[in-house]
Amino acid sequence: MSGAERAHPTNPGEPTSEMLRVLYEQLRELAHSRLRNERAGTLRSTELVHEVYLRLSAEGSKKWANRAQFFSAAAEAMRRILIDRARARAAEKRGGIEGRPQQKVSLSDLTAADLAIDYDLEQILELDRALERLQALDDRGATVVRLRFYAGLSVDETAEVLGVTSRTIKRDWTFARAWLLGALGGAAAGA
Amino acid sequence: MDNRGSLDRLKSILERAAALPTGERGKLLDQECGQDAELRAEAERLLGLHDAAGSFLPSRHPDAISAPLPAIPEGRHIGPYTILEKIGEGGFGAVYLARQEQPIRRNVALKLMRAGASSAQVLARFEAERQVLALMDHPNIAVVYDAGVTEEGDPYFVMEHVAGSPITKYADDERLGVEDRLRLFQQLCEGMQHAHQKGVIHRDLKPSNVLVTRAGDKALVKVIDFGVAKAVAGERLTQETMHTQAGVVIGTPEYMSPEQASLSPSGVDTRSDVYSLGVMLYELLVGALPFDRGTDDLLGLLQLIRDKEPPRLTTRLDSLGAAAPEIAARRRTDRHSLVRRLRGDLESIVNKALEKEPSRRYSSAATLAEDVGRHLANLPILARSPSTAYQIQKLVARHRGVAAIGATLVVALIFFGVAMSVMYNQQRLERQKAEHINQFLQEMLSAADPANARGDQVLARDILDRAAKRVTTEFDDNPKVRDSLLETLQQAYDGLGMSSEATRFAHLRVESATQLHGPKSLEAAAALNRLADALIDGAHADSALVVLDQATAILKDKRSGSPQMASALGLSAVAFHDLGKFSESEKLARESVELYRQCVGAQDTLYAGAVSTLSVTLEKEGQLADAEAAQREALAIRKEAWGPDHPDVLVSMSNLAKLLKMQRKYAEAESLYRETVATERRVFGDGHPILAKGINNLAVLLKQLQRYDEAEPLYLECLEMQRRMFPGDHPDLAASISNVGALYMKQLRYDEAEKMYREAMAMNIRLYGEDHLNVARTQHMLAGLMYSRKNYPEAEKLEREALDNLMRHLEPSHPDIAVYSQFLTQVLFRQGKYAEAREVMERSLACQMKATDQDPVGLAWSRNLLGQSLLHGGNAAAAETLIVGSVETLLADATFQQRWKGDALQATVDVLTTLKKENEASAYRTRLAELKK
Repeated sequence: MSGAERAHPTNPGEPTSEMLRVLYEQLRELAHSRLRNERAGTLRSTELVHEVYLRLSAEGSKKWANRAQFFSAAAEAMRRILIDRARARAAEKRGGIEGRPQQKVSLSDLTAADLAIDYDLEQILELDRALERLQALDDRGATVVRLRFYAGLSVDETAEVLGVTSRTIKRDWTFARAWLLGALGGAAAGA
Repeated sequence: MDNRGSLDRLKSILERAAALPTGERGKLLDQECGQDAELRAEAERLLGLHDAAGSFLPSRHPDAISAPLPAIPEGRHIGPYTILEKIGEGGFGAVYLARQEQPIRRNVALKLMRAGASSAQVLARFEAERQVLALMDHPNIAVVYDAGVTEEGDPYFVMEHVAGSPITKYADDERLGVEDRLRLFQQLCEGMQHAHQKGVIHRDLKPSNVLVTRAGDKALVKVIDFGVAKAVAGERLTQETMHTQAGVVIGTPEYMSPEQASLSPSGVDTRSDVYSLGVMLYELLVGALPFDRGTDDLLGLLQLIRDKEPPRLTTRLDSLGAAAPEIAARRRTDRHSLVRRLRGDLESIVNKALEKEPSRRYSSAATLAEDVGRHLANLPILARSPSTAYQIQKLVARHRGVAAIGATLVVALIFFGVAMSVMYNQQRLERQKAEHINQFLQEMLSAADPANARGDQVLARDILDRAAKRVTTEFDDNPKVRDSLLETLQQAYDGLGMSSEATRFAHLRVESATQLHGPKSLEAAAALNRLADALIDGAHADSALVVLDQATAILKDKRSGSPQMASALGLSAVAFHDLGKFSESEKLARESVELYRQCVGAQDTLYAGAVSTLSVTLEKEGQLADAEAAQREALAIRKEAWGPDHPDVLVSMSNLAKLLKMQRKYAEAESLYRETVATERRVFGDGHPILAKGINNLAVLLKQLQRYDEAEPLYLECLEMQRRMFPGDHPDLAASISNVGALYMKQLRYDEAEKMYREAMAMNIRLYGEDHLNVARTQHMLAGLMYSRKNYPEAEKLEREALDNLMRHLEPSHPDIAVYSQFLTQVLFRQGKYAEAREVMERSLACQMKATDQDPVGLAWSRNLLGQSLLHGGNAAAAETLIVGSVETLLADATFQQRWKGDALQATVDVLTTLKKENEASAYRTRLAELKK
């Protein structure tokens, strides 16, 4: 397996762009078909990511060195999908097509992105920028947020993936969330 | 913050402070931050933000690491229930056997959510399962009694404890034979149908979720564990999430449908459950699964499910080699008998349920159960295409138990009668050859006991007549046999198109049903329905209504019998339609549709029939868009149920094509007509009345599109066929004749055309009397003829009569009234009667505007004509608006006749010239010149 690796115990290895591309495609396709076919009100990233995970592990794919790497790649892929969607929706709106009013990301929750929601593009991008700043400050904390929001992992799952205790994750989470709220300028923006 | 240590400290402070009530935080901060003002400020800032965001954990559930579930000790109380023992463990909880004392003493199953599992998603999923079960109310689905929360805050719900074993194990333990297994299976399907109707897909159907208990001496099937079920409509249940541990896949792989196994875009719906039902049926019948994973090869198995065709039941049994005799023994039979038993119907049913493509499977658990039922009753099943020999086989099997006296007679009668009636549907009777009869006999004999079958070539009709005579006189002491035979004979005559004989037998069957079951019985009502059907076929709609009144009188007071009531309503709708009373017909058709929807569901062909009837009535009322929608629905249902080669599907197709044509959707109509004709030729063969009608329809369309060369040979073929079929008067023949007349008109063969029209009109009058739509149509055509001959007074007289006739029968907004009015207007123009023409057009426009589905071309033409009348009346300005505003629409339409396009253009030129708008006028003049080329 090639690709740059940041040797940090809590950071999963960086996935190669090839892996990311494949994963991105699979998630995108799955999301697309779910949204098209099911009348579900929600379509959480959790579902998609886990489905693809099962599919890939069923294939006995040796490409993923460890689960951590997979999930962080999945988080990255989901992030791109989310942003793409938000961009597409925003473009539609500008073009004069009437759609539902765009939703704010629920910062009080921030667990599992929901693809059935049209997120406010600005806010998604802001969140993204804020996450990058958080990454500089608290690397693991930012990773926790990414895994939880973009890949929809639970606290326990995140702990397992990163190889730390759940309590550690909770602590990181509490901090990161509060910090992000501050960084995004103020009170909890509810959905 | 600039180093990890400070960060960790901050996080630690935040964590602890957040858990404290606000009042006590100050002390903690004092302790931890000491003199570090910066640290404290940051901590307070973050605390504030944290509070603003709200807690992210439901307070009752401190997040804990997923540990194995601590066992709940025996004797522990949860609410009014006492835990006895653990009986199972699921994805997010465990199931316990518990005892309830108040208010009823019984054992229950208590499903408790995993202690310590906390996320909102898991909670929601648990709640969703409870809601799903609570939605349902069916003897074959486990009941939910109660739900609650323990002292620790763990949710639970309580349901019926099913003390039973998985259906496959039960069947083996009890050594149930194939019939009994099938009946158990039907129960399972009924339960699943109920769930599906509530909008719930189970998604994890497998024997361990289908338990069988004994209720008294009867076996009762119960479906449990809708844990991974998903609601698709209605209640907004939260979506479930997949289990994250690799290896524990949603649904048990062996029973997963291909679309579940491939996580493919097709999506999962009720038909995925049908697939799983199919796998269980397979297992019940042959003691093995269609696909087995050798080792723990999950991937391999999923791939098999996706790609490989399941082995036939009999093949599978063979493949089991030495285990086969034991399997047969568990079905109370031996290996060879089992093979024979499974071959044929059961294989077909299982294959249909296991189709890879969901649309090729049974559409619902109910239709699957019905086919099993049909198999058990020795009726032909849907899963097999109805070859003649197959149908006859079934018929013989059905009657095998019935005949006591004259067994050979019965068998001979039956297969001749039905064979003939079925064969008639394949090809014309007169063209049968001896070999063909022999072939049938051969096929028959291989299935039935060797009957005393004669090889001589006797005309089916003679046999039937002889049979009819005997049945009505003999068999008095054996009413059941008699009834069976009457049914066969009725069907046979019906199949031969001999409706008066069929009616006679229908009458006899009413008597027979009354005698056997009583005058107020369901059977009597059903027999009355069939009699009404025969009467309608024989064009005695008024008599049919009388009979239907009797039927509904019986059915009204019955609690069951909805299908028969729906049938009676539908037949009444048809009768009213035939009598021209369309609003009555619509009302009854709608009632029939609704009732069928309730009792057989919206996928059933009976429901489709009612919808089709409604469509025909709506068409007569001019509500074309609604009629089209209804007919499409009926067509879809029928196609799904019967496949493309079934008479009912053809009827729907040609009705739909007609509707499309009436709405000027010509391209679609033409292709549909062509498809219909091709299928009819294939199914019925040349010379069959249904084919003749189909060809006629296509011909009419082509003529309307002014493709006369293509239309002519079709017309003539059609007329040929019908003259051969109908020696006397018949509405189809009259229609054919007048169509040929219309064709001759186009070819300017006026004398021949007139001859045809008059013949057609005379026939219609003989059939229906002077006051009928069909007569109006021929009058209209004759008027057209007179017009071409420039005999305008005669044309006017005929057209006025035709128009009056129409208005007596149709809604004022019906498109044909506009058409006739427009034509009348033109006739009046030719006689210079502009004022009268204007009145006619004004009236017509008023009606046309009222139509629900407005026809732009029809409106445009009326406006144009009205404009022309105004122009000649001296009001050029108003005329201009109307004429210029309408001309483009007219020029653009494919079926609008060339010469009228010319008229419209000429009128445009005229009005513009009158208004001295020379430039515009000359533009139109040019176009007129081009048109004339």
